[in-house]
Amino acid sequence: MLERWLQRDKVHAIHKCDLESVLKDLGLLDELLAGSLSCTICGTSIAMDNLQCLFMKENQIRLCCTKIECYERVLSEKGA
Amino acid sequence: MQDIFGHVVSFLSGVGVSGALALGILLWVLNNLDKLEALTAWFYRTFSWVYRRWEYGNVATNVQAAVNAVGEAINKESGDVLPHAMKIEWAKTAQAAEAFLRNGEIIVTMDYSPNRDRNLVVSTLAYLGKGLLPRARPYIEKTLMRATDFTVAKSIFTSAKRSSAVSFFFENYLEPEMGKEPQLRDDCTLLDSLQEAGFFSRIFLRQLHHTGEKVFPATPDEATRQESRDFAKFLERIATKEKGEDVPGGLTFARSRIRASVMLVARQETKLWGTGAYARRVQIDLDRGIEYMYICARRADNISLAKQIADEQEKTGRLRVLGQYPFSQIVEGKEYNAVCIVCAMNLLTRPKAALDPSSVLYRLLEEHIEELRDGRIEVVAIARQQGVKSKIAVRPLASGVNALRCCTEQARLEAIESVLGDEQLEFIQWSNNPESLIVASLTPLDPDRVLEMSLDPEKHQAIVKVDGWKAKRQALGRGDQNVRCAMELTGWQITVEEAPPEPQG
Repeated sequence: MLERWLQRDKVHAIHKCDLESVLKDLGLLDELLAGSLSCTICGTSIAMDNLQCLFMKENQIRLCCTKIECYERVLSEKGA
Repeated sequence: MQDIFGHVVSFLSGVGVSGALALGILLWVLNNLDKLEALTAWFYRTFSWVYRRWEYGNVATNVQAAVNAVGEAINKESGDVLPHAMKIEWAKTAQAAEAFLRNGEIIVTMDYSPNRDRNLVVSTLAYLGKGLLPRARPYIEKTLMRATDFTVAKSIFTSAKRSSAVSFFFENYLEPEMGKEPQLRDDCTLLDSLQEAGFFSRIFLRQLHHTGEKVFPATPDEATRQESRDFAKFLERIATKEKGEDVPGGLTFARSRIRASVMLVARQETKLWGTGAYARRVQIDLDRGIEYMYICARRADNISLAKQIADEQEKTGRLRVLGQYPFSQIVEGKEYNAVCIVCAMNLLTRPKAALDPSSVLYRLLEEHIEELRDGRIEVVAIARQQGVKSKIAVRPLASGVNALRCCTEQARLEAIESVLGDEQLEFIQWSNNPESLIVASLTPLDPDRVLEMSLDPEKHQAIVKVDGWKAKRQALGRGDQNVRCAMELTGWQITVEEAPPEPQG
């Protein structure tokens, strides 16, 4: 039981209270607020309330919307 | 002036020290409103830093506590399917976020603590995506693996008593996906049936975990993935079978990666076949290279019998009991106590078993009978008197297959007999009806010569009355070899008697 707790699987997360400042420092906030960023999987326009996760692909930061099929695709490509 | 001082002193005496202090503060505030606002701002700054720490801790521990507690419970039933506990790691700055992203990680967004359901669902799916069956994942068929993730997620939310999270998950994730993908819906339904039967964590997840540990890091291929699906369907047939009915396809799953069997224990069957039948089943499964056996029983009397059988078999060295897992099973609306006893077959004893005459014969049959190798027929029991006579009870596992014909096909029989020399081979059709089986086991006796049979299920004794002394000699065989073989095959004590002649006139 102890071994299970010594090495934990980490789920990396950004809290909503930090999201704006982190996106601003990453240089993504203005585009996001302008509506010019879209989900890498389905192409839906991303806003603050439908941003599910961030990931790196081809050396660029990509965004994923809250749709389950998009989220699962990102999880299966990256997490497994 | 003295009057004013006197009034002040009497007032202060009336309100006391604390009252005087409060009055003093009020007077100060009224005179220093700007300083008050600065003090308030400092207070909010300090509080919001503390608040933010609390908020991170609140969100993270809320999720971690729910997931990790249930994860421990799942691991107890299914082995190490969730080998690591979960931890939320915050990316509070852009530098931290970029570092995680460049490391190939995903960063999920989490809402304020009141939105607990979304936070729990999103983070649980991210955790299961890499934490559940990490080695077995590549070898499990994709849609089945998704359904498994969803079923475990539902278990976590339900066991953590987060019914609102279950609803959120169902409405926003599960239902829309099942609507788009019928295969996913079917797989979720299949796994739900395993869940109801108590097989999902105790057998399905456990077996996939074992298989993953065994196979990793071999290259995943389509055949292995298909095997995982076939195994799920195999368990579904057992979980959904009607009471008293045989399971189509049998209770053993012997393929290249997954080799497991399920033994269903019931007192009723013991009355028919005795505990010897279970012992024979264990030996046959061992000979087939089955790696894990799951002994299942429900109701108190069957549970104690299942434990007895597991103990007896462990003493013989054929298997090792890894754990006994009690649970509640709902069958036809009624709740029963049930148990699943997980056993690892001791394949190291197989070299000894190689000297066992029955095992040698079994391997010879497997070599020459294709349907036995690929699971379309099954050898239920073997009784062997080496060099003299062997009786083999077989039955089909696939529809349209004639088990006897498969075994007695001339070329095959000749090939087997060429190895056995003068040993006589007799194949009989297995039957769950003791009378039919006993009559068949007395081959070469013509069944029409059997006039009467009386059975004592308690003592496992059968008295078979046959028509005439020739029939009796046929049933007994030279030196009683035939009836001894029949007794070993069926587990019944068989007495053959000559029926008295019909009175004349």
